Amino acid sequence: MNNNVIEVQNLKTYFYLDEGTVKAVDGISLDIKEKETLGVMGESGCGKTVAALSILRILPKTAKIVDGKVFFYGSNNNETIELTKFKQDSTEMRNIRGKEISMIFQEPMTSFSPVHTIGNQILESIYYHDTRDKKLAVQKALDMLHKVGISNPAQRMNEYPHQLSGGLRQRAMIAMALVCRPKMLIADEPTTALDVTIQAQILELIQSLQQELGMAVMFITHALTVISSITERAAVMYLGRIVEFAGTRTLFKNPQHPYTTSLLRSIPSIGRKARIRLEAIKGNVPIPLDPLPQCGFYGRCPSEMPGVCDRAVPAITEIESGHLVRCFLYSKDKETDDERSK
Amino acid sequence: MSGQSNSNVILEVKNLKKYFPIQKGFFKKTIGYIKAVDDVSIYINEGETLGLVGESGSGKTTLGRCILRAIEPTEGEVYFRYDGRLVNLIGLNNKEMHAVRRNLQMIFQDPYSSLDPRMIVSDIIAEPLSANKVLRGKALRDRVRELMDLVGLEKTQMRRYPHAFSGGQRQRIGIARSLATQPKLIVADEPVSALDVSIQAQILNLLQDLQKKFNLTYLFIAHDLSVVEHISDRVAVMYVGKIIELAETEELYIRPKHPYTEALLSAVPHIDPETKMKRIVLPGEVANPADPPSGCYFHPRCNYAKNICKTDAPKWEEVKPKHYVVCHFAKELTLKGVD
Repeated sequence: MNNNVIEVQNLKTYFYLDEGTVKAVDGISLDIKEKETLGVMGESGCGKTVAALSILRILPKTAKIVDGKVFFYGSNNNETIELTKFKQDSTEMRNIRGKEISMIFQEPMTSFSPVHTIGNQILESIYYHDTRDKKLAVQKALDMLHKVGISNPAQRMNEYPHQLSGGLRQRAMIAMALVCRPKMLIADEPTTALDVTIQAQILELIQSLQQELGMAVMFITHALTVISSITERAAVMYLGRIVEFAGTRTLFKNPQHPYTTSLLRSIPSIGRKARIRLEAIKGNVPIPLDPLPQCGFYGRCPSEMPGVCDRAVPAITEIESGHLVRCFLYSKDKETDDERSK
Repeated sequence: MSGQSNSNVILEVKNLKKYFPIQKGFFKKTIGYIKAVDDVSIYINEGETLGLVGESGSGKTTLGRCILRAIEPTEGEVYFRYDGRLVNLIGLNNKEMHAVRRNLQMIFQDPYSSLDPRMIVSDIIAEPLSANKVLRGKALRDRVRELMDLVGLEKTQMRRYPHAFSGGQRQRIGIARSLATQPKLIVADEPVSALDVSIQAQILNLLQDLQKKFNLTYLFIAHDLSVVEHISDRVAVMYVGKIIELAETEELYIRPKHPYTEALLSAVPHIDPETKMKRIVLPGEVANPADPPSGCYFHPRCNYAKNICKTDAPKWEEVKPKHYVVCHFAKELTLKGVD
């Protein structure tokens, strides 16, 4: 038996705009195991956040899941739930959000309501999913706030989000997400807006809560260094697709996709004494608006093959056990046309 | 305090302070001060990059702006080498400042809000020149072309508006504009932190190339310690309005002498998954500059704090040649840097 908590199969989420179709997520497949931390790395506009929103089904109205399936295995009676079967606003989805799968965001100020107290917002989730007993609910909220390291939780319960500092607000948001003990946590750039010392606190906190609650974590970030320090496996996304997927150690020691290798070479890393010139990647990050049927990295890639890479989209291939790469350097396989036209 | 005034110094800041009043009530009574910059002394040599790191709210940006007199400092002196001698910028009147200002420029963090959306690119780049009536007509247009070429922008893009450009290209526009008046000193305030990771290297390389070409001096403000390490000759660490450590880059990163620097360095996640550095997790948050703690501002978060730290403010001390620290125990502590 596999111990996957979630399985995403060939998920495609498109935005239909007046200007054209934005293929924000264009066929991604991934799985996350129990108690595992999976990193999803990518630059702005690569679709990493849309992928997360698609799993939780909290997409904006202009977006549509056009293909693919998401299976959730983590429910208490061990049944398989196909999330993509439900409507976005269905009771089934509401029962899963916050109870089975929770999400934390980059900017806690936008995910809290400014007109309700921290306490009321945490309690709302407990009342919906867990218990209507007020005394018990308050106790659970206090315990959780204490667990995320907020001192004087009783007082903080009655405060409004703007009264807390950035680090405390992020802690309160984590408390809100985890108060119903979900099986899976999606963390979308939770430390990007924070200072390094506060980032260290929050990373430590997420890791220790993961140990304690035994949840799976999908950690979305653009920071390679964060991926390398806390994840076990990681996916690198570019232009709506996963271009490389491997164990974190392999990904950093033996990267194969030209995007991953160039990216690793282009960032300054602490403790690299000689001040060598950085190997910059040429060009700009493209926007996935009506993308051409070619490799997304074509035009920026140092090892591109004209006549090959600009003719078709490479398929993702396993080059060794657990190491997947989407590049014509390793395999001639293309994304088949019928799959594309779906 | 900051030491030698040798002939190579282009900028020397002495005891600079900026206090923002906290006002309350109908009569705007001043009830206290936020000490954003509190008694800072630094110098920068010509052609050098001084990195300035610190967490948000530590006063890095305010310090940068006070140096350019974009904000008037409360107290202190800023000497800038102009016409072969060091001139105190703070004492200058508007007319004199206007003449000096051409040599001082700034690059901003957010390329989305620092460019006027209603101006075309060539006008944005030309503005510092036309406003100072340095160049006009064809000479101005040629200079703009030259600047665009210098920062790697296509000449065909001259008549476009900023919204048509990506973040990296916008930052290039901002750099071209700041180079227009051939400045000597550039204050770069978080120039790459709003950019995508694959674009950062382009801009960092560009800044280094330009420095070599024009012998520019940078005050490079950033919170990202790996970026600062990459680009700086010397690094100053700021905490709640004060510089708490200043040394040559390698010295500071390998042999930090202040517990705060040590903690900052250990908090940076490492790119190599096998180097699991022991993160020193500092308790609490950055002190409030309106109500700083007694003694050493860092003592409530410091793992090495003793009684004296709660009562006495430590002094600026040169513990090794060119290595300055503000800590009571700088000489006794053995701290860990990056390997």
